[in-house]
Amino acid sequence: MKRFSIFGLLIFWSLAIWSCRDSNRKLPYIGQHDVNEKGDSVFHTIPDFKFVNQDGDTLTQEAFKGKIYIADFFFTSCPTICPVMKTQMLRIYEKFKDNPELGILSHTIDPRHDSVVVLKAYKEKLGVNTNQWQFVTGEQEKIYEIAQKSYMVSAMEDKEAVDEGGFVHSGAFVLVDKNRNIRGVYDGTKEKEVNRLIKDIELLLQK
Amino acid sequence: MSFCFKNSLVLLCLFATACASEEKVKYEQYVISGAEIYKKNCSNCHGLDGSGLRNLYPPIKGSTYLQDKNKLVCIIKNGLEGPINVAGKTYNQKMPAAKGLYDLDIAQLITFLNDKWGSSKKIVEVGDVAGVGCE
Ligand code: HEC
Repeated sequence: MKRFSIFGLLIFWSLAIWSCRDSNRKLPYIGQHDVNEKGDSVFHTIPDFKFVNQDGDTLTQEAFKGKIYIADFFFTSCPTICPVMKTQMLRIYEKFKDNPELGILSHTIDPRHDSVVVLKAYKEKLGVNTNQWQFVTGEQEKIYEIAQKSYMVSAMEDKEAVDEGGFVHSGAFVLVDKNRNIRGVYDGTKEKEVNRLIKDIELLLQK
Repeated sequence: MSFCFKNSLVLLCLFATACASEEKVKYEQYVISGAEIYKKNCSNCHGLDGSGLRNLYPPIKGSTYLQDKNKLVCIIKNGLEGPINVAGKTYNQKMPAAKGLYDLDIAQLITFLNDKWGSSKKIVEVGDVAGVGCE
């Protein structure tokens, strides 16, 4: 009898663990939290933005309304980590292809070289033929500002960084939810980290 | 007398085999070092498996560029620009020069490329690299 109840307890215990495993997992809110006048906490939010995409069209936050999206920073002539980042981003793109609730936003940090035409060619060569993944350029200052202040990743020009192609930037993928809050930051050069990101996207999409 | 003869023969044989395997050991070492150099300097774009990335970066695996050692040396030293054709597809994207590689590194790298994706299993010596004139 006693053994039986221990056995039952074990089952109950493993069920409990199992049930709080994935679907009940919660993603954190990343960045500074503030409290508004009503006393609710407000999370760090990506502000409005305005860039130009690979088709020469203006692209704003409206393009990602009602979607979660992943943001990253790169440049097309980058000799180091960008090709790896793009290989990993392609995995995400393929996995969530045609899912209207997921977008991808890649900003160039070398707008002088990466014109609309260059971005368009780059996108085509990557085999990305939908609007789901947008490549944008714009004023360099604006791009660096939103990278550093809003997405909280490093991106800047550094002529000394010759081996890196004249720019230093992080290989981060930033996961942004439908309310424009940051819910995760992942190393886009590492397959394992991107696996974790894919899981987190699935979690966010369920909600 | 015959004892001495026999013994020196054995010794000779021993030397011969030792030499043969020394060559082999050197080849193996070149392949292993070359793989490291590839991983660090080339795999970002051309992929760890040498298959490139879509229409952006051409594959090394199965590329005819492996057959021309001199050209290969120059591509590694100077980079490459302008439209090219690899395995029936056109590519046109700038490849930067691999700065900071010594001739020995390049010799090891090419030995590895040939071993893994080419048809030649012959070692590429430093001299083979140093002798190549690129414009
Ligand atoms: C920044 C990305 C990048 C890196 C790093 C890189 N390559 Fe390339 N490679 C390219 C591109 C792009 C081309 C096509 C150039 C063109 O369009 O003219 C190319 C072309 C080649 C070619 C001729 C075409 C083919 O695929 O056979 C060879 C051989 C080659 N690279 C070898 C190497 C080796 C060896 C290294 C490491 C020392 C290396 N590359 C590093 C981007 C890169």
